[in-house]
Amino acid sequence: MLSSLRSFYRYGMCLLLLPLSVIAAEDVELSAILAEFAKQTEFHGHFKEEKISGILAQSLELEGELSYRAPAYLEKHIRKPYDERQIIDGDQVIIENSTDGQRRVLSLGTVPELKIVVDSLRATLAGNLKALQENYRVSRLPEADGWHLRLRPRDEELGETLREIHIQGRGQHIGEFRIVQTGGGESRVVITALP
Amino acid sequence: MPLMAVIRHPVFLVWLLMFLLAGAYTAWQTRLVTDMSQFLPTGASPLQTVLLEQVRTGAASRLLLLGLDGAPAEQLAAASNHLRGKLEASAHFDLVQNGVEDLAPDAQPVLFRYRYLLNPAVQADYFSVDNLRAALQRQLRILTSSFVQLKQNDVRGDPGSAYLGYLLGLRPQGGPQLSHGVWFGIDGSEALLLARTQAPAFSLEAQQQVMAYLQDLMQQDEMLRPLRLQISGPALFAQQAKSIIAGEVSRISIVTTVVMLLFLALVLRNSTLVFCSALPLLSGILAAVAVVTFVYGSIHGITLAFGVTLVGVAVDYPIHLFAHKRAAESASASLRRIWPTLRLGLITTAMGYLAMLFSDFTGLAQLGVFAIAGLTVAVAVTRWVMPLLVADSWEARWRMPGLKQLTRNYWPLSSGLWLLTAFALWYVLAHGNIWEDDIAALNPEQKTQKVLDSHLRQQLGAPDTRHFLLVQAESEEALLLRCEQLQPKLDAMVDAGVFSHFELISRYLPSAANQRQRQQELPDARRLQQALTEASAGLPFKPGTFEPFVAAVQASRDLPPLNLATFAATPLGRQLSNLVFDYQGQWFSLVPLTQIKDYTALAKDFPPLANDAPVMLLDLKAQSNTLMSHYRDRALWLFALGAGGILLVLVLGLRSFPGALRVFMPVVGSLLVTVMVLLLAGERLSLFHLASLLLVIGIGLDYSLFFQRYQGNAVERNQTLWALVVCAMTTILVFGILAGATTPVLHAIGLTVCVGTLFSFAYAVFGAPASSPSVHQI
Repeated sequence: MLSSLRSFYRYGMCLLLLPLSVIAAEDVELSAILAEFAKQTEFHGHFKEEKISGILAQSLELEGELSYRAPAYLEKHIRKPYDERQIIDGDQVIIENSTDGQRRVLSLGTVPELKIVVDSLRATLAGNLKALQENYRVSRLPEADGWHLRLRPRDEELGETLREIHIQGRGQHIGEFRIVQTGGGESRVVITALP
Repeated sequence: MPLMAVIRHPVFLVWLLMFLLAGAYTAWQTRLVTDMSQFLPTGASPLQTVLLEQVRTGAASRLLLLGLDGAPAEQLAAASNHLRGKLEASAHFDLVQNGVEDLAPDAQPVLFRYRYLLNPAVQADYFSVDNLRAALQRQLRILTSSFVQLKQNDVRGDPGSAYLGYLLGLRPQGGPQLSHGVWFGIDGSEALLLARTQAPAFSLEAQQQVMAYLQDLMQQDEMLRPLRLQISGPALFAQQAKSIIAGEVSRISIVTTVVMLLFLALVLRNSTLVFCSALPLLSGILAAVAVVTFVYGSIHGITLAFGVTLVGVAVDYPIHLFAHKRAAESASASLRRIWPTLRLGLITTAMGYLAMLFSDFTGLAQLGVFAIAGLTVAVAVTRWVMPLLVADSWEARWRMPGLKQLTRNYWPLSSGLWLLTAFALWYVLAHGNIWEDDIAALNPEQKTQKVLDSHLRQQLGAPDTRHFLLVQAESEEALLLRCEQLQPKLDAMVDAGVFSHFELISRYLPSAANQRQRQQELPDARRLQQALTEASAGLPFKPGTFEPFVAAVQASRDLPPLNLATFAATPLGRQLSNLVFDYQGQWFSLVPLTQIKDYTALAKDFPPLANDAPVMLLDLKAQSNTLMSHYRDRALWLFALGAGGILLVLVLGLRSFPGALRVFMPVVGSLLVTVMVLLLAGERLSLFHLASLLLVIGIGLDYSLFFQRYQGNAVERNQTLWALVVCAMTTILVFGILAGATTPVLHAIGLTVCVGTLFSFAYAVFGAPASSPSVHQI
């Protein structure tokens, strides 16, 4: 955390010495938003997800809890319509389904599509704009209340599956995480923080 | 002769011209070959040919095991992928694996198209309503819980994941663990890769290029430079052994050259003569290389190494001349006196090698040509060129006090030697196995490398390079069927812990009969549609979602069964290209085994090397050892033939049978005792010992002939003795240094020649006391 803060300051200092262009200005804003996240080392919240798929006649709904611990621990605990814990810790992915009693462990690296999405989430939460910009073109969309980031994958192959990711929120709180797939599928996760 | 006169002398000019021509010819034309095939017989049976091919070019022998460490796991994983990309792009490898698999259907369209014929799970009830419903529910679950939805076309065309099931079912159970998407060692500190070289393992030059490429890559690539790459594999072993030997050879040659020059300088006390004494040997070697190149188009590295050893006896020729030279006598005159003996020595030695020319091993025949050409030229140079270089006034000044004592008849010594011979004969015959059958024992010790190899092999779950099962059948289809029948047995063996994994071609490609049977089970479009409608009742899938699935099953019903040729062209098939081959109408399949724990159980169920068994256990190491023993036996037989030839030439040359025996028997005696001494020293005889014994025969014949020749007066006798002592000391010095080498091959050659020379001398001088001069005026 400390190091990313430090790099943020260094980044900021550099910018002060340069004539501020429009792009740089946007970068500063993005950095400012992300820097808010960097202060957060832990997060626990409730989520509600709605999934739309091209092959389904109706949308799917699920809900549960989300947890994050800096720098690389993410947990999605689905409570409804079944009970399943998905833990991503570093490179390890653990999927525990208490409904059918199955537990699977795999390497995040073996599922590149998943990895890049997870990386985007982690980079955002860690306030690491540079890592985020490595894989995505990041832009800020106008939003009356709070902020709205749009991530578009730089990798063409990934672009065939994933069109864009939208992250919306206020202050250091993420309110919504939306994945739009190229084929027409969409997943919208609404998050409310829990104490 | 003054220098200018020497240079203008026609003989010298002819020699110089020939020397330069031969030098130019070899420089332009000679190709040094290191391919071992010339030293292996052309196999008689198809089975032998196949085995030979496997020993030499088999996939397992070309596999390099790579371990990458020295950075955090995430960085190593990235480096592993980077390295894989680099290796795949280079022309050196035909297969590189690091755990990353492309499971998407478009990676292998052919296999995706055949998914319903390839997957063993596709049985009659695969398309039942219950089964289909379970598959759809599973898809729904994946859709619900996954972060990212899979490509929808894959789900629509293959809701039961028949393709993925087929691929995942082929994964070895005990394979390396995956971390950050690539293979890692058990403690997670080392990323693992497998790379198969294009070049066969026996091609040491090509393998050396591969190693140089890897080294350069590790040094120059930004990403790889900070990391450490550990490599192992059979090809690397061979190449390292070669460079260890080459290193020791060059060190030893420098030492022996210096020692020999000092010794000759001490004895001859004339720098010109020291220099001249090398001329016959050098001319001989050069001529031999040129002749072998002319006859065979190239020369084998082993021929060159052994050949130079055999021609080494040529160092003795000028010494004979120097020793017999009297003051105020021209060198030509001295030579005329010893010429009959020198000539007979050459002819008899050449006779010993003549039989080799008729060998069916190109390597042996080459060696014969090399030795005969080399020795002939060396003798000719001694006879006609050397006299020009030795001043008339020169005479050997160094006389050995007490030499005279040696010329007396010591009958107890002589009888003792022959008693020793009888004992040696008994000892060798009673010794049982005198042969070294494990050719690996001749290679330099590579302990650390062996530890690394077993470490990497275990972590990677790479197959055993030595043991395989071999399945044979009369057609492609029969072979696949036989493999299919074998599978339950092998599965049971894995369960019983005999080995941990096996690679069976029929798991990848079922027999046509099996594929046809699966086709029979595939429902028609109408029936499948009906079952699908029933199965998806109450599930939220849009109608028509699984149309591609119905169409794919329908299309599968009419596909011609996937055959070996089409399969081999797929990316998966290319990885397995070495598992199946046909030879003269017979089909063979290799079954690599991983981590064999219970060899006895394996050998009990599968007869090792039973020629007509449909499935047999192969031990490639034993097999290549057998081939080498075959080669050795052949060499031995030629040896015996050569010995007969030598005796015949001696009888003709000396025109006396007892005289011939008097020359021949000391050679036989010294050979027997040498072999006994070697055995007593704990050596077991290999090809290298045999080649050295050939040299000992050449040396022994020369000593014997010189000692037995008409020796006029005491002065003459002394001169001969002096020559023999100097010759023997030179040889013993040079080969004694070689005997001190740590490389078993060099040690074997050195020790054999050293001991052999010592006894050749002893037998020549004491073994057969010279009889009255009248008998062999030659």
